[in-house]
Amino acid sequence: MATIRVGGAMPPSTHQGRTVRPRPFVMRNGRLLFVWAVLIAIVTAYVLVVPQFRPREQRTLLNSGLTLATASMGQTLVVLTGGIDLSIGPMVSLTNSIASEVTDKESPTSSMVAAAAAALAVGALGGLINGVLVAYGRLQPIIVTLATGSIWTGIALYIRPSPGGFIPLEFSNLLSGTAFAEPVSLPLGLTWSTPIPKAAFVVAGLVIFWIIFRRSRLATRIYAVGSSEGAAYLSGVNVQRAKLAAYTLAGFAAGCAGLVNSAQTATGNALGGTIFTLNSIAAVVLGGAALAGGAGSYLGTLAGAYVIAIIPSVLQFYGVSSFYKDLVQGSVLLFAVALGAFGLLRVRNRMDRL
Amino acid sequence: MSRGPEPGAIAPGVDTDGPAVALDGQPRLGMSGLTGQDSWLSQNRALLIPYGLILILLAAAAIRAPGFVSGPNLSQQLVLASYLGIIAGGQTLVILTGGIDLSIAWNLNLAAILLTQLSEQMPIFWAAVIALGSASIVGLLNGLGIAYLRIPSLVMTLGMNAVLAGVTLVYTNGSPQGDAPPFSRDLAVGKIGGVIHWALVFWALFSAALIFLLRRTVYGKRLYAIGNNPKAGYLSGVPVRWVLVLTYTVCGLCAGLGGIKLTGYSQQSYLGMGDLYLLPAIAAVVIGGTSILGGSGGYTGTIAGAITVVLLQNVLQIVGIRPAGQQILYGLIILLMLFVYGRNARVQE
Repeated sequence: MATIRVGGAMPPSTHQGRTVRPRPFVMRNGRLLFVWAVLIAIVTAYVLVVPQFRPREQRTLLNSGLTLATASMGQTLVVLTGGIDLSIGPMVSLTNSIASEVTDKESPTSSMVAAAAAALAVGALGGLINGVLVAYGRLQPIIVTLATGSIWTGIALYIRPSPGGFIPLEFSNLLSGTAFAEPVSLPLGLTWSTPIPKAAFVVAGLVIFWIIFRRSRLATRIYAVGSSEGAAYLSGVNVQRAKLAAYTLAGFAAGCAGLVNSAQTATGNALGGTIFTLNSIAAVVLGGAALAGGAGSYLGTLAGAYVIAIIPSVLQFYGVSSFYKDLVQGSVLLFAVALGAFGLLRVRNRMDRL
Repeated sequence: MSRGPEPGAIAPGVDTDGPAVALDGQPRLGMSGLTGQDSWLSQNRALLIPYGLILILLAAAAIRAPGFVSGPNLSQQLVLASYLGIIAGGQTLVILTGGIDLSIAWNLNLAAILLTQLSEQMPIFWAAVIALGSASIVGLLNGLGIAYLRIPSLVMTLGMNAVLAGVTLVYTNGSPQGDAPPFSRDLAVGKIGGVIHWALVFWALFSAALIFLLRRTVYGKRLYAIGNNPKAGYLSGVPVRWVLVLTYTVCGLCAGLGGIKLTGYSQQSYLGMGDLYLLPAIAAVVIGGTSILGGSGGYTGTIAGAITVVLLQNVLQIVGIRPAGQQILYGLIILLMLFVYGRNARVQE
C-alpha cells in the first residue's frame, strides 16, 4: 500500500539516491489509526453518557451513520482516482425519490423490489454518465459532478416536488431494524440470543466488499491512476476505463445509500440527500485518503463517516447546544487535515511543498 | 499522446484576460498569444458564449413576457446580478489560482449577521469594518492553511464553512437580531438622485478595480502564473504562498461585501442566506469562461456569467419552466461551457 500522505504526489526525484526504508506500521497507517482512535473515543463518550446501552441504543448508533457510510464508499473510490464526486448527495435524493414513487401500497413487497432495482440502476447509470464525462470527455470532475448533481436534483424535483411517498415498513425494518430480537435456535442445539442491529450486517457487507475489491485488478488500477496518471498510462493501464469504473461504482453506491436513506426516513425527499455530498468528502478526508488520489482506504472512511455521524448525538447527550454541531464537525475535519501537514516536515525539496 | 504543449505553457493568458485555449480545445500555438497577432475576436471567443446566452435569454423573455425587457426591470436584473457578481469576483481570483473557496457561503452570512447585530450597538462605520474584517480574516486563515499547511483548498474551505456555520449559530443563538442599517440598504437598493442604482455604480467600480488588478498589476500576472504552473511560477521568483494567502483574503473580503449588500437587499440577515449563493457563484465563474484548472479566464467573463445565472433563474420562471427544470438547464449549461473550454489533456502529468 502506498504511504499515506496529503497533498500532491512527490516526484520520483525525491527518492533517487536514497535507500527507501519502509516506515514502521504505525507510521504508515498513522491516519487510519488516528481516525479509529477518534471513533473509539467518541463511541466511548457516547456509551458513558447514555443511561443504558441496550440493543435500542446500539441500533440508533449504527443507523445514524449508515447512509453516510454507504455513500462514502462511492466517494472513496472516486477520490482514489484523484477525482471528486459532488453529485453523490443529489443521487441519494434522486434514488430516494424514485424509490418512494415506484412503491405501491397494494403490493408493497414486489413494488419495493422493483423500486430498489430502479434505484440501483439509476444510480449506476448516473455514475456512468459522470464517468464518461470525466474519463472520455476529459472534463474536470469537480465541476462536472457539480453540474450533473444539479441535473439529478432537477429530475428528483420533477419526480417528487414535495416530500412524501411511501416506503413499506418491512423494507425499513429490513435495513434498519434489529435482528435476533427473539432468541433463535441454531443447528447443533445452540441458541443465539444477542440482538444485533441489522445495520451491522450492512456495515459488514461494505467492509467485506472493500476487502475483496481491494485485491482486485480494478482496485490496483484505480490506485495507480490516482498515484500518477501518466505513469499508470505508460504502464499500460487503461486510465479511462479505470476512471469510468470508479465513477460508475460511486453512482451505484449512491443508489444503495439512497435505498438506505429511504428505509431510514420511510419517505421520499428530493432534497433529503444534500448533506451527504460534503459529509462524504469530510468522511473520506478524515479517513486519511489523499484528495490528490492514490492513497487511502475505505476502512478509514468508514470510521470517518461514523465520527461525523455520531458527533451530534454525543453533543446532545452531554447537554451541549446543537448549535455547536457544525463547529465541532468542522474543527475535527480541519484538525485531522492539519495533522497531515506534519508530512511536510519530511519533504526536503522546497519545490515539492508547492 | 498529449495535445502539444500545456495550454498555459506558451500563452498563459497573462496579457489577454481571455482563455489560453481556443474554442476547439486546441491550445494556441506559436507566439500569437504573446505578440497580440490574434484578432480581438479570436482572443475573446469564449466571452461570446456567456454574452450570447444573455441575448438568447432576453429574447426568450421578450417573446413570452414583453414587459420583462423594459428599462426598469432590466436594471433590476442587473442589480440582482451585481450581488452575485461581487461574490463571484473573489471566487474568480481563487479559481484562477486553481483552487476553490466553498467557505464563502457562511463567510458572507457571518459578515451580514455581524453587520445587522453590531450596527445596533455601535456606529455603522465600525460595524461595517468589523464585518468586512471578519470576512477578510476568514479568507486569511483559509489562505494560510492552503499555502502553508498545504491543505487542499476544497477541504480547507469545506471545513472552514462548517466551523463558520457553527460560530454563526452559537453567536446568534439561532436567530439573528436587528435590521439592515440604512447604509447597506442604500448600497443594495438605493438610487443616486432616484435614477442610477448605487449597486450598479458600486459594481462598475468594483469590476474596474478587479480587471485592473488582474491585467495591469504584478499581482495579477503572478496569479495567472501560479494558476498555470505553480512550480514554474516559483522558479520564476513568484512568492507563491504570499500570492495565495492574499488571494484567499481578497476572496473573503468580496464575500463580506456581498454579505453586506445582500443584507441591504433583504432588509435583514438570516441563517443560511449564503448557501443560496455558493453554487451560483461557482457557476458564474465557469459560465464566464474561467478555467476551473486555473490560469486562464478573467473577471470580464464572470460579469457575463453572473448576469446569465440571474437571468436564467428569472427568465426560466417567466417562460414557465419549474425550478426543477431550471436546475436541469443549469447543469446542462455548465456542462456545455465545460465542453467548450474546460477540457484536460488526454493524459495528465
